[in-house]
Amino acid sequence: MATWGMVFDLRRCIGCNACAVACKQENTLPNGVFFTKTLTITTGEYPNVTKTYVPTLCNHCEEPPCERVCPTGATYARPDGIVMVEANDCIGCGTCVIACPYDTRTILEGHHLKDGLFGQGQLTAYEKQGIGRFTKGTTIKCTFCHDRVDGGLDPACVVTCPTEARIFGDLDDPNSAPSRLIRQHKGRQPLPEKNTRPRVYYVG
Amino acid sequence: MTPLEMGLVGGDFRVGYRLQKTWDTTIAVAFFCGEVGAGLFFISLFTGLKSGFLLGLALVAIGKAGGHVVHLGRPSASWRALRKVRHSWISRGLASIMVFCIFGAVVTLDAFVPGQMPGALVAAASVIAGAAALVITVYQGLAMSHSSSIGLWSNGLMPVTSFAYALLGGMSVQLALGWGVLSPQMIDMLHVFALGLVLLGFVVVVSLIHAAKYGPEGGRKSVELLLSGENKMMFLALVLVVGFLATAALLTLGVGSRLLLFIAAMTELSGYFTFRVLMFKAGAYDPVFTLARPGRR
Amino acid sequence: MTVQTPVQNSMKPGKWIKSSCKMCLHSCNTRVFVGDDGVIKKIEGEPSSPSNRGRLCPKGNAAILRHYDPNRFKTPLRRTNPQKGLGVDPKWEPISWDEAYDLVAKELKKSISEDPRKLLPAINNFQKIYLWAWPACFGNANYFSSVGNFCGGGYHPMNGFVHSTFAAVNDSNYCNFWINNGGGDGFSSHLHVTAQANAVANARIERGMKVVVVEPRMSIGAAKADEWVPIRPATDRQFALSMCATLVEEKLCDYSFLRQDTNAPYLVGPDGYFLRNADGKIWCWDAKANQARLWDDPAMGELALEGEYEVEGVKCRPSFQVFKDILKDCTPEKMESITTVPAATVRRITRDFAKAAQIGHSLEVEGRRLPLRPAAYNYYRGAQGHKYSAMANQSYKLVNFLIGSIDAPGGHVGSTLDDQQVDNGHIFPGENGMIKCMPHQLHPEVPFSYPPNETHLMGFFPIGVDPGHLTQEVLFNPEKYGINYKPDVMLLCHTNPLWNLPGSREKWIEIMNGMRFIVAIDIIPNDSNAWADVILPPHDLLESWNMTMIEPPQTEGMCLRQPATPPLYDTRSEEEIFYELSERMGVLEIWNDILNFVNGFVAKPELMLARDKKHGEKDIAERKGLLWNGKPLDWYMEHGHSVTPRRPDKWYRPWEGMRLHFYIEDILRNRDELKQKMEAAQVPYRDEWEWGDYAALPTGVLDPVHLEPKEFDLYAITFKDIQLNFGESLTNPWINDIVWKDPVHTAFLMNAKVGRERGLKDGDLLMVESPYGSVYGKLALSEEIHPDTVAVSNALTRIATQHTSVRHGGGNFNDLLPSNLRHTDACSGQPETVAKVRIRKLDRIPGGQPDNSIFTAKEA
Repeated sequence: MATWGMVFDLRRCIGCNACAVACKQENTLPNGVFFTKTLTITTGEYPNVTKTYVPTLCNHCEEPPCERVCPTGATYARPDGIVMVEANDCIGCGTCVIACPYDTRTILEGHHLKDGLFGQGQLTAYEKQGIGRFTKGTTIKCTFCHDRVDGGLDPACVVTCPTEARIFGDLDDPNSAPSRLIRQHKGRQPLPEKNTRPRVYYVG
Repeated sequence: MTPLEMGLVGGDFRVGYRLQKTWDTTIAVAFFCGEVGAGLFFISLFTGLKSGFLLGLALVAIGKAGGHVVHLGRPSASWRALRKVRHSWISRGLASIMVFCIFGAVVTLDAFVPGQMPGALVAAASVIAGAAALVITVYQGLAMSHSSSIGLWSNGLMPVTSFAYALLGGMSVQLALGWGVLSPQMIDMLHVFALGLVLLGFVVVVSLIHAAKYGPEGGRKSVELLLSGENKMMFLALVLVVGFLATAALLTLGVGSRLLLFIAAMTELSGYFTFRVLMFKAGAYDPVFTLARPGRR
Repeated sequence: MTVQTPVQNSMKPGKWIKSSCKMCLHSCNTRVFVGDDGVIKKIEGEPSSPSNRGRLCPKGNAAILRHYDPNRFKTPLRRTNPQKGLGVDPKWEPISWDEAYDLVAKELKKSISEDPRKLLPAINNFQKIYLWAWPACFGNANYFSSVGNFCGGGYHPMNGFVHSTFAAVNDSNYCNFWINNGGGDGFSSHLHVTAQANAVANARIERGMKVVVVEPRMSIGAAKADEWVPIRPATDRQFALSMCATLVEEKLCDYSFLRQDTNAPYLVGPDGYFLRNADGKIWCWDAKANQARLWDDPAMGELALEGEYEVEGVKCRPSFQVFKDILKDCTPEKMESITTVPAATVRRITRDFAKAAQIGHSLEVEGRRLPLRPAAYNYYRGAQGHKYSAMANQSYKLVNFLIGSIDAPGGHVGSTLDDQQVDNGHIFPGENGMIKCMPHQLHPEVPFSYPPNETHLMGFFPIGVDPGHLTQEVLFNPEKYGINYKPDVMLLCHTNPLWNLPGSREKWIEIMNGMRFIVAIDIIPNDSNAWADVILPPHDLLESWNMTMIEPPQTEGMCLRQPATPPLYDTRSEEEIFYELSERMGVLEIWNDILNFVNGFVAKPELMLARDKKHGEKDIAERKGLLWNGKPLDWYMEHGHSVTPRRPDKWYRPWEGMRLHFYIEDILRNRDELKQKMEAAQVPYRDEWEWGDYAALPTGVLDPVHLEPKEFDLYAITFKDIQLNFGESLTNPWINDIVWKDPVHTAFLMNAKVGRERGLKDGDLLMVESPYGSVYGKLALSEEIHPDTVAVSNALTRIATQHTSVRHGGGNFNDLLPSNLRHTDACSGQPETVAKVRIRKLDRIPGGQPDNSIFTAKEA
């Protein structure tokens, strides 16, 4: 049984957010809802400026605070480490959104499912075939593309990244691509002091 | 300063501070009703004040439970929230609310219509309702600090503020309702407790802000937000001056006057409600990423 | 685990179809997932493509929402509201195709039969580039657009002169030191952005390729670069010349390349032309024998690059010496006050660049020994979009010339547009050992005419790219320019002139209002087709056929586009539309002749389109595939493409044995031929014509934008990033969702220190005014921008488009730009794309903003 994880190579990322759009395509996400997004950090004063593009997504933590605080058990971790939300059990209390330090969870509101991507209150054929997976009032987030991963594929964001800045694989396998990168480049986790033990690492 | 100058990024694709938006005024009202109601009921168990039982029960059953149901994304499934009593403070809180409502109703019924139920049942119900009430006074603060994501909330003092405010709120309402009903000796004793609780509450709130300021990044930002702009007025004037200082003064002056005790209850509750609202409004997350690298050997 | 119904789109029941993308003008290879229910659910990059290698930029990822865009034109439409204007509802009424074709043909024919010049066309579908030639059926060479010219006015002809190609880019296979100046290759824009971003990222990380970016704003490339060199806008030519001056002064050049492979040793006389003997052969100087010899004299000892000589009584210098003399005034120290780049920085970068070039080294590629020059200077729109564009483009080439990296492994390499056949070369021999100059990369030269046949004076730009912006200048001053007809019909196809043309929007609108009839062949509403009288809606990229090779870097081959679903609406292919119109207008045979010529079918007669038939998009696609490599359409349908890595014999030094144009005498020849023609025709404004723009070598003369009145004390630039480049993507909700959260796209950017000194702060409302026009918007103070600069993202420049997803800004940036001759390169037709501006604070947003304007707060 693998334990899935991701590495972001900050040397490569160009902040294009192709990943965000590929994910929206894959998951029929409403406007304003992101399972992954790339942020920027700018430091320094002109002309000595550094700008870094930082991809983010659910870190599928080893000690997920969202799972701990969830009152219904809707948020749970699979044996392979992917943290999921079972919509049927979710009551939309928002405690998991409070508990997650990484801004990766969204509670679906009515307008998300009714406005339509073009905002005219009508859904395109593409939306109609996909939006039924969502339940109003529940929390949704990245699932490491669980359907694709179960089918032996990489997540949509990984596959599309023009600069190959996203590397996905089995963290339990020391020879997997992410494991090697973490070792060779001293991969570091986001907000380690929060003790969530993320399975996402950054190099570069 | 503009939000951007303060480092707040909202939904922009920028690393920076974000304010939590999930728990808003509805939840603030629910928390407020829950803590004041539970505190009031708990104290009534010792004074036997009938209106205390009734108001306390109503605040929890309607104000708290109702406020939560309104806020939930899927209220129809809310019963599922009982499932994770082993891990989740929300679960534990819901269980306590249900237990409290049932056994608190028994106690309240007996207070208004005595002698209808066996004494042993009522006695047991009092103990159970009291225990449940105690959990309600404390669990909200524990839920807020159950994760380290929001620095302002995630320190050990948050549950203590819940507890202190619950008792203080309950106490000030008890005094206002109980004046002329309870014995003068009881009023005097409650009055002393109330002053003590004001002092305790004041110290706990100040300590909470202090702990947040010197804790994680998000906490520091929250304190900055609390002490600037319109929040500054609300925090200093309403929470501290009105909520604590004015209340203490009124309590001291007004032990002989129902009106003054009533006003004292109002100042205390306004200060407390403002505190609740501000805690939610100023709750900030740390920036999700920092470029700092681990030290090298 | 129990089998569950997949919720993720690419895992639902369905099938993958190979195709190619068209969310920008390039064609990364894609695969399209169509569900069993016939709905397209996912689009990905095609893994078998050596171009984009399975990857795709955000625009390609968003194509599904172009297909299902409810704003799409669903049937032919006729306008019923006679009023036309910004934000005015055309009140479209559906009509049948037959009715529409008849109406359009009738109206166009009416004007064209009076005078074929009365048509103003704007046909800008790059992937079906053969459609651009349709007006040639009537002998009409008008061009109502600045496509190809705003970004590539001087760029394309110069690539034609130097490489005999349409485009050029650094060779990511071997480059170790990559300079980007005003061009986003490898990071944000220009050639096949996904493919380049992939290649450049791998070169940087796997090979340690160093990147230096020279730009006024910290673009994506500058953010990733090892060094960002901020530069004052419109001074990039001076920067490049100062690098050249350093290379020459410090003797860091590849002299053997210059001697053997270029015309740098050819002697130039006082008139600027090469010195020729009576037979027309060019003289050089033998430095060993100290005498003049012809360029190909077998007795030549050593070709002199420097010195002053006299041959047959005429004073002359090798063209390298001519450049060296120019460079005396272009030292880093002299250019510093113009560019604001410290001289020490220029010298340091140049020395590192020259060292990285490994002059003298070579390597073997597929059995050929080639010079290895892994250092190259790349550039594009931002650096070349100025009045002295031909000179600017040549300056950037010359940096590469001097270190010998032109078309070398690791160097700066020419990239063709469409080879048509896999074995087609693109180099033709010219005279005196040089390659033939091929500046006409987009269409054949338009002959000179006076009175001018073209409203944009194309006949006056023999080696330029259509200066569509001049139509405004000419139509508003018809007597001055001698235009003796008034255009009154317009055909818009896959274009948005009201967005892309520099000049006054008000005047462009007046021109459009003056049209008797406008037909637009477009998929979705935009700023311009709101003026149409008839809309003819074509198929979109997921319902149509195409076969294209469109200036890919590093690869070559045909990319198939095939329908993933049947047409969603009552649309037709663009090919059918033009055929139907051609038949009704009596030019069917001419049109087939043109198509056969432009597509290269004439090279294989069995592929030629029958003259008397109307052919379909599939017919043309099939022929283009067969023409490339002899493979039939079903082979392409299975494979999706015939893309392979660029053949080294075509990519590296395809001109081996010939000499390149270091010195471009052809420019002077074209100048003088034009002068003669203007003189013979007694063109009244021939003495005003900017003859100085024609130069065989560049100088450091300031672009006139720097000479605007002093009260205009800042430079305004505009920019796009990978979400927006080369296409219309602001109609797309997925693109909107990522653009409106990106701080560089939501406000005018200004240097933080400069802003504060002027008492400005974030969120202030600014009016930005040039001598020609104005725009307004919100301000964001930034550390990522040169102090003299205000940067305006293209996301902020839309006005009154009918598409409900497009957010309107505070005006169009291009209103800040002039559309006159003074600020146009007489040599290439390039307009100035930087504006000198002044700013002032506004108290409030001007009224009348639509609901979805950029000034309406959206959810946080």
